Amino acid sequence: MNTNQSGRARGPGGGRALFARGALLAAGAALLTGCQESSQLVTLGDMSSAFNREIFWMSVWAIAFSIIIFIGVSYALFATVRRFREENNSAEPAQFHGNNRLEVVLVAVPVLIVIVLSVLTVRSMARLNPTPENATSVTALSRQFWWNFSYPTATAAAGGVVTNGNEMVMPTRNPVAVTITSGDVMHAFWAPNLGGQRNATPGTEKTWQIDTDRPGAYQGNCSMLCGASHANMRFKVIALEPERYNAFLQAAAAYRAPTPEPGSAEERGYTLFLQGKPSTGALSCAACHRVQGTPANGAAGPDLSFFGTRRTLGAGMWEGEQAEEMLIPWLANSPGVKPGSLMPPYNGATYQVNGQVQKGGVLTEQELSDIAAYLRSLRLPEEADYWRDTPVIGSTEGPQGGTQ
Amino acid sequence: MTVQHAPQPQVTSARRGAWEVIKDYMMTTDHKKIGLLYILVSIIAFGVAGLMAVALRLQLALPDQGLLVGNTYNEVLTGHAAIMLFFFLIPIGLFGFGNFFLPLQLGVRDVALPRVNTFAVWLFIASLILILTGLFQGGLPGVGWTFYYPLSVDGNQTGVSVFMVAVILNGIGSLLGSANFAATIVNMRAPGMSLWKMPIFCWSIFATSLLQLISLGGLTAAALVTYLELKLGLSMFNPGIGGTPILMTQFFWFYSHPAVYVMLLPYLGIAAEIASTMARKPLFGYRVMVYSLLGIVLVSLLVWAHHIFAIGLPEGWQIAFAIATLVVAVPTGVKIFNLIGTLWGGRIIMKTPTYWLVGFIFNFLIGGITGVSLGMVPFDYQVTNSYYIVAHFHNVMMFGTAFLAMGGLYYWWPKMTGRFLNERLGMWHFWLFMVGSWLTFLPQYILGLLGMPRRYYTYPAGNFAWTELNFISTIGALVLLAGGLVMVWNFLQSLRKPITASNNPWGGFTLEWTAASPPAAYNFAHEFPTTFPTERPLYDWEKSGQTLTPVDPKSIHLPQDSIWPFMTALALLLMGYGLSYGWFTNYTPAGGLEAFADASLNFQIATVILYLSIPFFLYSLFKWAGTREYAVPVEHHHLTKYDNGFMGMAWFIISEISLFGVLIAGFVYLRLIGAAEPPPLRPNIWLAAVNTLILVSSSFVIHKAEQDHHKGRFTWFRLGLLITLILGAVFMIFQVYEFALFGVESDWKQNLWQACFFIIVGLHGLHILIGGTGIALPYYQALTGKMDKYNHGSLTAASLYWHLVDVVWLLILALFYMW
Repeated sequence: MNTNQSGRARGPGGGRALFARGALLAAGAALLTGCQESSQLVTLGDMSSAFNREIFWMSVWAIAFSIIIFIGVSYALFATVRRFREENNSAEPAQFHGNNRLEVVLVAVPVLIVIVLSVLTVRSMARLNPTPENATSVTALSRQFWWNFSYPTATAAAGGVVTNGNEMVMPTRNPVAVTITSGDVMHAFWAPNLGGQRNATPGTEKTWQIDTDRPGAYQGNCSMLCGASHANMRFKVIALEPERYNAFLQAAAAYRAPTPEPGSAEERGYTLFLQGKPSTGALSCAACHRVQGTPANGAAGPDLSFFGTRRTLGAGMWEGEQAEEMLIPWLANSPGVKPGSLMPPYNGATYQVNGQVQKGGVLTEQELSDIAAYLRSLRLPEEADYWRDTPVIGSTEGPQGGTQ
Repeated sequence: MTVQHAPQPQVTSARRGAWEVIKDYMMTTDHKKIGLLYILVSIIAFGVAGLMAVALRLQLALPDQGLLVGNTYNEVLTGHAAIMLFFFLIPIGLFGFGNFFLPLQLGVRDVALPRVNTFAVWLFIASLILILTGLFQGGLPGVGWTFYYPLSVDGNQTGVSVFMVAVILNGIGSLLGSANFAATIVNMRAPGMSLWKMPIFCWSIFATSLLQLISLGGLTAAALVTYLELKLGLSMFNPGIGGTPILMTQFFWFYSHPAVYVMLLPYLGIAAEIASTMARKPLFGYRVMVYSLLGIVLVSLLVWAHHIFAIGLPEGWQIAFAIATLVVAVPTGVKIFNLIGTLWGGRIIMKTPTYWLVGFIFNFLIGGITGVSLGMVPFDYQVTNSYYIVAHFHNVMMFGTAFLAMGGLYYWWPKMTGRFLNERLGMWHFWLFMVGSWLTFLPQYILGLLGMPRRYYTYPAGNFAWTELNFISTIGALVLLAGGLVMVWNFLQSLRKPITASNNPWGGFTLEWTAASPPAAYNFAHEFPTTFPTERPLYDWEKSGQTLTPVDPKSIHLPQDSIWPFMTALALLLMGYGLSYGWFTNYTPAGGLEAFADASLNFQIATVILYLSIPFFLYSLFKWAGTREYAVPVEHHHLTKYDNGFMGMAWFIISEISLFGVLIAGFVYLRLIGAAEPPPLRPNIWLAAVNTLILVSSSFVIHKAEQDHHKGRFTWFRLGLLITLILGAVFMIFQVYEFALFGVESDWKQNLWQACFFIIVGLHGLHILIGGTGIALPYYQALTGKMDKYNHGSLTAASLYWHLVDVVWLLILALFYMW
């Protein structure tokens, strides 16, 4: 069943009109906090997603019941206390032991409410949980503390399947079936603007749907405690119009990492990337990372094929200009800037793997900047750059705000 | 015990030295002192965990702070949760108020098994000390109090072993306490008080104890298997050999959801007591309130999977658990309505306990409503693991049931200490907690809706409203801190004042208000009328003109003090220390098996302590068994035909059944889905058949021995016990042989069936050892002449336990040797 159909009878523009609820929530929060500026809005009140619309319509009844019950019971409580407190009531307390008829009513009413809510719950689950036939498939692999998003239908010309680390690209107006798994401990995939959470459990694969009608960059987070950098295991979801999405996927499948010019910084970086520097104990990057179209095919770290196109670093720990600035410090001592990071340091610092303290290798500043130069050269062609003109949802700095 | 000769012990106790007081509390069997110990330790734990919470909030006050970073934050987070739950909210209600007031409300002089009670409280304290030793041994666990697998066995994590051992020891203490309460209620009420005339608080303790006994096996199973993987590589969860981490979450929540109700039910009892007393009225719908307590017990056992909806269980399961979750609202709603109904029409004394009660009802209403929203699964997919959850459970615990813990303290403080708390300070305390809680937690609901996941040590600037809401939340935490300081000040200033409280300062209707404030060691220097028309005897007796019959305190005999239950608990603390930081072999999940000499000094010392603790434990236990409960022969009377030891064991056994039930259910699941297949070489049926014969005949032998004892044939009785012990030893020898053989034949780290075999059959083997020790105790008592026709020692309990071990074996025979 197509989740989009569940936005029944609200017409094509319904989704946008209902963004009002998200805005309402935002306005409420703004009123509460006096908050004016933000670079992005993360909320499950985002009505561009059919998932969130379904939850909203399911919840309307529950919210209505809740308001009635809340007002009714608090009124009963405070009215009772006010009326019968010692100061206001000198009458001898009536020694009655209950009222069975009232008791039956007080059981029956909640039972009825529970029945209604159960029906609503089951109905929404029937609409949301089955994976639609026409859904786009994406596989999300989670590891401490990063993500790999791969596209099982897009086989790369250079071998393997198209994979991107920490930034997931998806089409709009079509549900996306994310198959979620973990390579080590439990994690959870959560992009509230696009749909609910699903845990990533090692040894199992669970498929879950997200969707949106509106192109833009959305925030995602790991929501299951997974170790030291649980809070730094973020990701971006970039929703593109289907045509642009297809263009991205085609270009990504055809992509081969550019061959660096002989004698350039990129070339020196590429050599270090592939071979490391055994004389100082610096492990090769390729042992853990994959770059499409090169011999680098490691799987212990995130895919770096499109690193130059990405705008986040360290699984979303830094964005935009900050990500640019942090690249060298990150390469020099990743566990030093991101707690618990399992990437070895390259400035000779120590780090901890499996409870054992180990010493990282050593690269010179020049060598680090060569590797950085190589990484920055790993760019998708301009027409496939998914960040181009992509608005950040909820940014008060205009469509080019936020991480742009 | 000298107290029965000194009518006013509290006067002399005020002048004793600190060591005398501590020694008294180590040796005491007095349920009131034990209750006070629980309450004192719980309040200290509340303070420690509260300060941890303030530290967490300070870290989150603004984006990108550096106070608690990475795993340090996770460690404080885990400490906060584990200490708040296991050492404050669970114990203070169930065991603190339960121990102090259950016997008083039932009109009896102690709980069913006073020395087991001493042992339980010190085991509880030992487990707290054990967790805190983590601070000096590499750090607290940083895996969350939920210790989800495989993070719990992650090589970079510290302190998980000690957390597991502490949880298991805490659980044992908790089960002994619960079984003790259940036995007390069934066996030891004042003459004439039927179950349906018990005060509602007694019912709430009964319901909670039952819930603990049924469900705690889930937590023990999760902790035990995690521990065994850390120390031996035995696993039921490892996906590498076909296990599933989801099974661990099922084990864990099978207890930890009911635990939420363990943190609720005693407080609902307190709420009802406060409401009835303060409104000067009977409870509205006493029976309905009891039924709803029992209803909550039942339903709470059927909702655990709602914590893991997002893990992706089959939809049918999710729907079943969702509906059960929504159904919880019905009995809980009844409690709220009936509390308001109790207040209705009364003349409500508006003192601090009443404020806490009214505050609770209002806050719990919000928490209950948001709880129902979480039962609606698709909404839960969005907000589970978010700050919405954090807000919800603090809503029902911190400014829900903890408010009633405070209410209970203010309500019963005069009875416990003989002094009043200051009303003015009490109001400050109340309002600071109220406003502080709202400021802290209500913004967190919005944070959850705005997508902030829980357990984040930091967050970036720029997410809409995150910064502002977090800042407000931190301000709220500081207000709560101020409230906590007022609370402590209020307690301390009260204790410096002279004893002025009358027996019944609030005009309560239950039997505890006939005792002195604070009560004498023997509780009551009178006997009660034997007619209990309702659950409010004092009101009824005043109407009917019945009076209390004075009793000479000199004629009252109390159990004598003994240091040995304390020493036994101390031995378990040392054993726990050894099990946490040492082990019989030098094995780590990351490094594998290494030579013992290569282990760190810490590890070697801990291992030595482990070995030494075993004889110390046995010595203390036998000394305990060899000490008579009463200094003079006392006629015991109980309401059923079973003695207290048997009754306590009968309730305790529920927890053993649940522990094996959970583990076996997990194994059967793994076997049915084809993940746990036996290796080609597996233990032979013929040895198991011989062992079955041995064990079954031992059950008959001990039954015969019991009969002999009953009929006064003491020589035959002693011989029977000896034969049982020998049969048990032969069984063990065969089993050790079989284990050694099987362990050499194949690697248990590579085969799930084998891992399950060693875990479950091994746990049964441990039970044989425990049961054998249990039988050795009455044998020792018989040899030293402590037993006669009227004194059974611990015979009935040991025999019952042995039968249980036997029955479990038959199940194991079918599942592991015949299937």
